[in-house]
Amino acid sequence: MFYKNELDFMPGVYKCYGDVQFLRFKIRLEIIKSSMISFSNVEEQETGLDPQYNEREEFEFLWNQKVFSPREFKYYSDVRNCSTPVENEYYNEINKLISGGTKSLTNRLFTYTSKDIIPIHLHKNIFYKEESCKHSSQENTLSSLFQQRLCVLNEKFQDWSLLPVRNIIDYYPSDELKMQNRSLFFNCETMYIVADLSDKSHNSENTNINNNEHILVTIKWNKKTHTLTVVPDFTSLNTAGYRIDVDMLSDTRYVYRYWLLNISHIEEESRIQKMEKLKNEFVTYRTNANFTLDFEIPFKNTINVFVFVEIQKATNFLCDNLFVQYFINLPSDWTAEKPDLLSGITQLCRCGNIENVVTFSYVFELKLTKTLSHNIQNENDISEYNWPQFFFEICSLDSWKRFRVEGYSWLSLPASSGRHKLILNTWRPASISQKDELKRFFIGCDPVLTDFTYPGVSVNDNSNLLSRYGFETISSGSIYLELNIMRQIGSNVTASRKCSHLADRKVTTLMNSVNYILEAFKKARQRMLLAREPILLHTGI
Amino acid sequence: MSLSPPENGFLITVIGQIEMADFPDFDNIYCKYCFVYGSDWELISGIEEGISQVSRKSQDNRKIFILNFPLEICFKSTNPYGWPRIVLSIYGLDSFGNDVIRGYGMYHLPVISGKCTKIISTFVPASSSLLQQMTSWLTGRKPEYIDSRVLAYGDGREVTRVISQGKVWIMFNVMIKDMRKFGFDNIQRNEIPTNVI
Amino acid sequence: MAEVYIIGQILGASDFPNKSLFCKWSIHAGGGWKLISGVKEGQTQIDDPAFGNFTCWCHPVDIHYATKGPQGWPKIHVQVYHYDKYGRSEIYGYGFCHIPLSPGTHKLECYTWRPVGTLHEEFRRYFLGGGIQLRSIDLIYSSSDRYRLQTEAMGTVHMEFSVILRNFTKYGVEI
Repeated sequence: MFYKNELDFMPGVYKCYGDVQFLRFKIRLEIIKSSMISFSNVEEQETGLDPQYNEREEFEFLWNQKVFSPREFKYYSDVRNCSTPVENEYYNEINKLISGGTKSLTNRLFTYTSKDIIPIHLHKNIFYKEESCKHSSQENTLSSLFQQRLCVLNEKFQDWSLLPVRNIIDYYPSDELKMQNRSLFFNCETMYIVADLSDKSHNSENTNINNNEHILVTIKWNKKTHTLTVVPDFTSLNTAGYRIDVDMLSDTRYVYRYWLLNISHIEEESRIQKMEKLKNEFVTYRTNANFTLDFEIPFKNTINVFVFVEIQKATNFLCDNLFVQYFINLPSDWTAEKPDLLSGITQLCRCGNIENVVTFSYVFELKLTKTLSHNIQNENDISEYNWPQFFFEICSLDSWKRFRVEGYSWLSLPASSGRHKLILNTWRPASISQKDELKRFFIGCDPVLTDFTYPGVSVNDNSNLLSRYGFETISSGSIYLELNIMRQIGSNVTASRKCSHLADRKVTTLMNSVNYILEAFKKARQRMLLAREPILLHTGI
Repeated sequence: MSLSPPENGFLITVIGQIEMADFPDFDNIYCKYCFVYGSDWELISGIEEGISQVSRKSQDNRKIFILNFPLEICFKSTNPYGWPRIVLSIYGLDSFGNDVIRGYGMYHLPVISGKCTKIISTFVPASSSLLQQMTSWLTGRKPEYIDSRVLAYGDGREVTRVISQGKVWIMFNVMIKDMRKFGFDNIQRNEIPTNVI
Repeated sequence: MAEVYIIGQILGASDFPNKSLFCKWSIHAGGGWKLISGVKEGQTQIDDPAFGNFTCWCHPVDIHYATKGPQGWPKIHVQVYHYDKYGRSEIYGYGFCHIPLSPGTHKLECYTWRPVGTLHEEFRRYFLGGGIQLRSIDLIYSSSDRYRLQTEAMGTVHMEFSVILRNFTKYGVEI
């Protein structure tokens, strides 16, 4: 039966700065007697304070505080039962309580701390209901291994900071290493809050304690990582509380609910505050101190374009043993920092185990600088917008030393920055006659372009018409390229301006045009005054 | 004892799950994960280590293991160096009933915010000789890493031989706060589609 | 001073003639770059895949650089070796790749090639293994001499890198 106001039984995992000794929490247990349990609860509003409660118990616990159950009280008050130091300690405590006059601090709530040995009946099988599955005969299944592991709280300590650097593999791992690798929660202390739900109205001792002790809350503290795990999580009094499953109890007339409240407060606040303050200062120092003008900044009216080129591979060429020659053509207002890199040749490569694929893996980088002229009159001049062009020539040189041209291609430098993956398809000039074909096959003599910029817009061509009519080509394979482009604009270098660089550019052009207009106006006014001078002189003004 | 959200660093929150695994040769597996991170990083909340349930292979054509094991973690840092990684160790029972290692895997948490599903290939250390291979098969003690977190760093793996087998699918949902404030730029630029010219 | 964080891993390799491979990788950056934290070179494990053709290395890379300019942006250089059942290793490929510039996660494919010797050397390599290697990888950086090298195409190394930049936009860099 699911009730809409019921809380989810979720564990809470908390990372704590302070120590666990500051943990304080309160548990309220309510036992409500109700004649009709199953159906009436659906309509009732389940709130914290039920005026019909029969029994309520509240207690505030500290971490690892030992509170005795009636059974334990009787057991440890007998000195013959106490042999270990822990048990002796309990015996002394109980004696103090008896001599103090109180029998026990609580009626139904008690704890098992990390020092106690947990009774076996509390190790419930968390995967299946007890009656349905018996595991005693199946020793070697995984779930029984898990049971072993979960029941035995291993206090082995593993040093997290020391990782092996040599000999990281153990070729014949021992059982201990295997167990260590497959387990979690090292160095974890656990505390259980348990409720004794036996029928208190009858004075007879209920010997069957197995069914009447229920774990309400499990708290695990991992000293190394300062993590507190609370199952179930903390809640508030405004909710319906957690409900104990009544299936196991003999008396089903009662509804059992409990709440877990966190009432701890940190006493060492000042130390934690000091730590936070130091951290904040360190962070602000780091963020501000890194900005030094140690970075290369271009001049005001230049753009630096950094191009990182990779000629990766070539595919679908008919011949083997290929290499690529590249040339970069820069327009007049562009300069390159290292002009030697504007042309180059890759190594010679032949096909490997994959057919028709030839790899170059050739990388080079360029720093190109474009000088901008802010002269507005040049806006319409097309040469202002010329960008560098890349020309590629793929050639083959085989073992017989026959040199052939396999393809030409060209590429205009992409205008946007970022990572560009390009596949360039190539073509080669077709032979005009059969004789040329034979020449190409036997001695490798090809028609070759005289002007390497011909595949693009040729620099020699100033006419308005681009015509390649009459030129015959044969389509050839493709080259795979990758270009990474980064631009640095000189006028955009600021330390404190927060608006985007695009807005900056618009502002400067706007200012430029406004200045231009003002200047033009001034000139026009002067001309007007000069023109009016003779008239003004006449009138004697 | 509970924490208020810290302001002196950027936060990375990852919510996801280890969805499924594909190990053609084996019948049952379970997975253990842990997060490894650099010294500038701090775990704010979430579970640093976990073990999944034991899963048996599906009986349909896909023959995969469904784990659906949740991951939830939140880190704080001032420095992206030492970005957290998840280290997986996958174990299972062999035919003799011994708990043996089936695969190790490692992956960095995604650096950009959003949802992504990653396929991680896993591998096991190989035995050093044929005799040792036979012995470990019989006794159920296959070679294991002494500490699986060593996989999060590259050191020490130089002459180790491994056999890769199996894949694990992990889905991550990442939220990042305040990285921009500290000057870091990790916004994924739109991928320019491959141009064929 | 601008900073670059490179976080990622060398996933593995594919399309090589043999599957039992390992890789020596190193990251090279220009003179204006300073390595603040991380290791810039390493060697992966030797992997022999049980299924499929993908050799899996899963080798993490985590590097923090500070720089004066985008020139000399880090490049990764990989050398793939084959480890045979007798324990010998021979070179299977050299490859180069630029680390991507734009922030975010990128998948990289680095195509590799192997130097090829004379007919006599290739004949020896076929039977005994251990072909010719480059004397020094600096030869590859100086572009003038590279055309004399005769090579053969080999497989691909797959990598995945995430790049985080810092302070680049303050210096007017558009990325």
